[in-house]
Amino acid sequence: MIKIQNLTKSFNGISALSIEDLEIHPGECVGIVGNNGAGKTTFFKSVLDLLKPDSGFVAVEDVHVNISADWQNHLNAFIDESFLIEFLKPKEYLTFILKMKKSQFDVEELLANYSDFSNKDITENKKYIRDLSTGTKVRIGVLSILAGDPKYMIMDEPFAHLDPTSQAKLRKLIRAQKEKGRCVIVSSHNLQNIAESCDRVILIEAGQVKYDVEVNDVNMRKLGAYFDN
Amino acid sequence: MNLFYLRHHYQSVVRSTSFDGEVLAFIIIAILFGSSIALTYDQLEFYAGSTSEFFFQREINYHLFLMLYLFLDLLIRLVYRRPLPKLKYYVLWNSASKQIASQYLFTSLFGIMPFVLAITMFIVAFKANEWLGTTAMITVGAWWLSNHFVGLISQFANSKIKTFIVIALFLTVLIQWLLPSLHIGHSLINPLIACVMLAISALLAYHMVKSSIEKREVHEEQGKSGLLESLPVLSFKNPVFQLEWALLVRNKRTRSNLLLGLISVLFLPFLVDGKTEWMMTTLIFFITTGFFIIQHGVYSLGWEGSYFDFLITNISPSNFIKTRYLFYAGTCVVGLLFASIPTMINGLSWTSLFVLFLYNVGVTIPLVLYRSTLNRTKIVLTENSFMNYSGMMTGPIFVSSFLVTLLPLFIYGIGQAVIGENAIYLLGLMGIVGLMLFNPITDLIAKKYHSKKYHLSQSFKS
Repeated sequence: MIKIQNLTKSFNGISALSIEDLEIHPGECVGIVGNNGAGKTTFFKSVLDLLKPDSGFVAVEDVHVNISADWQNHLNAFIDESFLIEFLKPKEYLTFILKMKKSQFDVEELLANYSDFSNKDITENKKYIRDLSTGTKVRIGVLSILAGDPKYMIMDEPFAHLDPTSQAKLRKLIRAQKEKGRCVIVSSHNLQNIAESCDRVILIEAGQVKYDVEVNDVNMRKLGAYFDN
Repeated sequence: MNLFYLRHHYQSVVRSTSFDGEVLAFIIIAILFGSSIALTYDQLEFYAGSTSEFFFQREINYHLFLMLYLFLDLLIRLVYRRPLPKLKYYVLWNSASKQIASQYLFTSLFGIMPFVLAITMFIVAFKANEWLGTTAMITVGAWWLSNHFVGLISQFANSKIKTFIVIALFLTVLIQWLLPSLHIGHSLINPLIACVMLAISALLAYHMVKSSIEKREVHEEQGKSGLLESLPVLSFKNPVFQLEWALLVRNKRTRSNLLLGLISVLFLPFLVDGKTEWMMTTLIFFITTGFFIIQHGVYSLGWEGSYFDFLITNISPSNFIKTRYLFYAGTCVVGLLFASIPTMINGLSWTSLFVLFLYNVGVTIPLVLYRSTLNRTKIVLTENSFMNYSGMMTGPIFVSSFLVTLLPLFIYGIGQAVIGENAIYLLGLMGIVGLMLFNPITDLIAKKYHSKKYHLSQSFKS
């Protein structure tokens, strides 16, 4: 379980995050929505111990993320392209990640398992990651977090740079992770993507959890109305 | 003839923001490089074997020396990766491929690295003329140009052609070695072989560039791997070590830093001799064995901080620090090996060189690594390092550079006042102590990295 309690973070005196109590369980697919600047990325960075919170804590499997790095064995994340290593080729990067995660699978197995999501531009590409399109980079990032059999996966705006076909494949991939009992936390500006891939949606506004509801037609209409207004 | 490519290339060079810096670099390199070779001009003859009393033996030695020079020149060209033209522009503007190709081949002769190699070639060719006559000079010139085109071919060729080139060159060298009648300067056959090789390599290079343009291989411009870049696939046991290697050889700035460093290591020992003040000699030995740490290490985290979070890859700070330490120590060994030859040629003390090597491994590396947690400037990797001091003037890197350079001189100065010239051994002793404390020191640095993790995560994000 990921447990967040009394988590606050402010920049220059302006509150960017203030979450009193939030729990996310294995097997859940959670969509995080909110406008630009609402605090989604700050939330992710706090969970991943990339930001020092002003107060409160985040615990993954009862391990406080700022105290021990053991939580990294359970959680993989892809926040943006800067997490990729730009001077490696796609397969080299994935091999590197698998080695670091001490995974039992090799890169070919990983690509075969997710062949739907790994096209030739990943499997046969001789270019360095820095020379690839943003969409391809995102797909490499998504594949990289599947390495090491994690219990929790975090993706920040993975749909943003993907073409419609890849978006559909990613939705399918997220649902498949849920069936495997994994927890996926994904943010998106597109409610449709969240509705089709998640079973719980959290709306963040000014760093606070405004709604934390189940995905169904009624709730999605409410959220749609929120963004329309 | 449509000189569109040539004109455009000229404008792109002249209008480049780094043009002034590059011109200055040309002048400085010409002065430094030319004068250091001129200073050792007579030694070329000595080490080529003129001391032998038998002429035929001298001839063989001259031949071997020239062959070695040409081989090293070729090696540099195979390793050095030339910037490829942005062919897609010319394809889109419908210029004739044969004209682009021929003009590209012409422009490829210019640049700082070709310039440095050309200075060396001119000096060696003149010396060859003096030793073995005009035919030897022509041979050196033709082989040198042929090397240039072979280097170009290797950039465009696939691995099969590269293998073929290496085997063909090896066989040619072997035949020339085994048959005295083919020795450089011995007969007209040798310049003839060199000219034939030149014609073949030039034609092949022309064909490959032209075919690359015609096949619209525009997307391959940045993706092709040179000799150095392909080495990481050899898969080191430790993936972090492999990453260090990839960082070094797959980025223009770090790669050119390395090559510049290696070249300077070969020449720096000639700047001093037995009569030079020991403080200066200490500085030279410090720079030669620590060339990489001074040029590359002080930027630690600035190179890779933009992607590094110790998060997605599960790299622990301890693993990272230990690997980087060993990698840097490896480069000190390379510096020691490279500097050993000119040190001994110049009659300097190899022991002193080794002492400074110990100091660098035991003291400079941990110092640089410890201070790197203060770096917060992201360094662009894809730009050349010539006259590129991006990041250099920022506080931590600037201070680190001066600190690591001045510290051994300061220690040596104090030591000299107390124990005289033996003070240099004090530096070696410090290095040994540093090495003995490898584990506690790296743990301390790892702890520092850990305590700075939020700073490190935020500093380099755009």
